[in-house]
Formats: sequence, structure tokens, C-alpha cells
Amino acid sequence: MTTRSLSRIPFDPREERVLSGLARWMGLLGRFQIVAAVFVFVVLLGVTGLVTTAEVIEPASNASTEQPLVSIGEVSRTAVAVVVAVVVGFSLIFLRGGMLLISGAEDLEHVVQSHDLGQHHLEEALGRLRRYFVLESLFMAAVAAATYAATIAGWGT
Amino acid sequence: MADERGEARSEAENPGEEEGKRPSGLPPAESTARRVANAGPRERLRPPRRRSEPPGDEDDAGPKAGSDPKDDAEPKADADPRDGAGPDGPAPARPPGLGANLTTSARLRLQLALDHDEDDEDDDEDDRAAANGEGRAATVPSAPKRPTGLKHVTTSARHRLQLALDEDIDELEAIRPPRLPEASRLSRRDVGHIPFDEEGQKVVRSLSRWVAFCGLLTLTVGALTGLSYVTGPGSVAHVVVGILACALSVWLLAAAFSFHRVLRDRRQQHHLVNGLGLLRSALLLKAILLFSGMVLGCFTFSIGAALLFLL
Repeated sequence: MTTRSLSRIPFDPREERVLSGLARWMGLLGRFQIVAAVFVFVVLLGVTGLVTTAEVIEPASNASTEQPLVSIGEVSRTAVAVVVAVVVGFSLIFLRGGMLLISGAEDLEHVVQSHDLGQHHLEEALGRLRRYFVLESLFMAAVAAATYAATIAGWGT
Repeated sequence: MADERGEARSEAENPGEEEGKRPSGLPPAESTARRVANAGPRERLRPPRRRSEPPGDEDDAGPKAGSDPKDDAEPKADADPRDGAGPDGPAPARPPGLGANLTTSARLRLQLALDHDEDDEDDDEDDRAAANGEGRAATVPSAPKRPTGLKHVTTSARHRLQLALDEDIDELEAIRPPRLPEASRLSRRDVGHIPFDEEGQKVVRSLSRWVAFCGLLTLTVGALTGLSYVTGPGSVAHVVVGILACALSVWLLAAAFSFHRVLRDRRQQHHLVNGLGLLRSALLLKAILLFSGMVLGCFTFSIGAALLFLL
């Protein structure tokens, strides 16, 4: 930290309102992302537990010769593992993005409320925003690539 | 003369104590003569009387009989706890300060005098040596040539004044006119300039690029999603999502452009706050979309789970 970054930036009230609003919505979006990531992770865990339980008890219920009502086709274990890994990775990226947003929001609140080290906190907040957008860009690129592969190129069919 | 009588009476009552307490090491008679000689300059250093003070306090402002010469240098005459600390009471460990009874001009004159007196330390020593040789009457100047200065104040009194000034630094700051804030001291040309260092400039530049990249990706995804309604497989929901994604991408691209101008324009603060405001709009829309998605996801998951258990 250099000595020049210890200065206080004189924001006027309108700019302080903009920064406060950005901090508020950043914190809200970060909390939503964390909740969504945890929700997806819990759902994935639940589905995995159900499938595992069904496979364990499948020999006992295999005696019935009735046809299943819903047939979702042939799904290999490898495909299921890949989907689970991708979903876990996405949820972790989502979680990390939410944490970065919350930290950046706290830094911006420091910029508005404190009377010293304003520029240091501002640079910290901008750095966390940059990391968040790096993660989001990679996330969106991955989603776009997967969507393109699944729909347009017909991969996996 | 009253001071001399009071001093003589005080010394008669406590002869050993007075001599033992003199840090300057001068004999009591010489100290008394110097104190009498300094009565004129000390009067000038005394703060002007306030209107709120009662007229009967005039005697309190002057040197008191029976008091220590160190107390004479204290400008605060009344309501001073050390006034009663003569031979009967114990002397306080630290001086209580000059307090609010000293006006700003008197305080500044005292400070100037102390600063000025630092330069005359050597001259003072010479004068003292000359006075010892020629007699005590030579130490009494007829009229001070210099308007201010504590040349003839004893060393202990000078030290106590210096301590009192140092102790009163908070009150001195309160008396002084308030300093202008940092923003108003900046020149008009520097208003809106944020002195980013090398690391800060790199962060802003990188943030601008990544926000622009994210905006372009969002625009591409939104356009493809919206156009899927035209090409066939899409629905109205795809169009809505495409429009929202395009709006999000517009805000992100505008924010990236503002961040880009932060490093290229003189009004850095304006562009930075503008970019952050655009980013706030984008994050607000994303928060709403995410919340809606979570609600729809929970609803779909609950309906799906209910149908699964029912079937």
C-alpha cells in the first residue's frame, strides 16, 4: 500500500448516494448468489442421495415386471458424473462470486462512511469487482459453449 | 513593594523550602530582583480582562504576596488550583494549562515570545554574568528594547509555560480558525482527480476490459436467445430473456466505457462514479433476475418433487 492510496476522496452527496446504492445492491446480489449456490448444491446432494438409495434398493424392487411410466433413455454413469461435476463447479463459482460481491460492498461502504483511507478501500472494491467479472465472464462463456454444444452442434445426441 | 514584602514574608516563613525548590540555583534575593524587573513585560503578556469578570478581581491578576515566583508566570490568576498551593498546600505535579482564560492574541504572543526567547538564551547568560559583576541594579532594565520576550523569566517558569502550552494544544486547536477541508484546498483544476497509483490504474484498466467482455458475452447470449424465437424453437419467454440480457449488456458496456475514460480524462471521479452507477443498475437487474429465477426454480422443483412422489 503506497502513501498516495491513503488519501480521502471528496465525494459529494450525490456520488455518495450512488456508491451507497451500488454497495447495497452488490451485497444483495452476493447474498442471493450464495443462497442460490447453496440451494443448487443441496438439491444436487439430494438427487445424488436419492439415486444412490434407489440403486441400492433396486434389486429388491426388481421383482416387478411392470413397465416404467417415464423413460428418460440410456444414461451412463460417466455422463451423470460429468453433470454432477459441472453443477458442483458452477455452484462453487457462484458461491465465490457472491463472496466477492459482499466483500466489495463492504469496501464501498467503508469508502462512503469512513473519513480516511478512502482511496485504498475504493481500489480494494474495484479489485474485487474485477475478479467477480472475471469469474462471471468465464462462467458465461462456459454456459454459452455448453448450450452451443448441446443445441446447435447436437453433441451428446 | 508589596511584592517584595510578600516575598520577604514568604521566605521568612519557609526559608529552606524556597531555596531548595529553586531549579535555577539563583539566590532568593536575586530572584526577587529579577521578578520585580520583569513586572513590566509580564503585564504586557497578561490577557485582556473580560467584561464578565468582576471588577474586584484586579488584585488577583497581579503577582501575589507570599506566592512562589513560578506562580507569577502563570497568566491564569483566579480559579487556579495552584493559587492555594503555597507553603501550606502541596504543589501539583503538572501544570494545569493555560485554560480558556488566555485569549488567542495573548497565547500567540506568548508562543512568539517563547520562540524568540530560545534565540536569546546565550545573551541571557551573558547578562546574568554581567549583573553578578556590576550589582543587582544592573539587572533592572529601564525599558525593554524588544517588545516581546521572556528574557528575564526564570528557567523554571519558562519550562512550566512551555509545558502548559504543550498541554493546551487541544484548546489551542479549538481557538484557531478551523482548517479548510481537503476538498476545498484543492485547486479547481484538481477537482475530480483521483491520484491512482500504478496498481490502481492497472485495476481500473483490467476492470474496464473484463466488464466490456462480460457485456459482449451477455449481448451475444441475449441476441441468440431472442432470435431463437424467430428461428423456430424459441418461445415468448426466450424473447423476454433476450431483451433483459440486451439491457444488461448495454449497461455493462456503458460502465466499461466510463471505466475506460477514467484513465484518459481529467475528470476521473466523475467517470468513475458514472461507471459505478451504471454498474449498480446492471447489478440491480441481475439481482431481480436471480431472485425471480430462484423463485421459479423453487416452484418448479417443488412441483416436480410433488409429482414424483404422487406418481
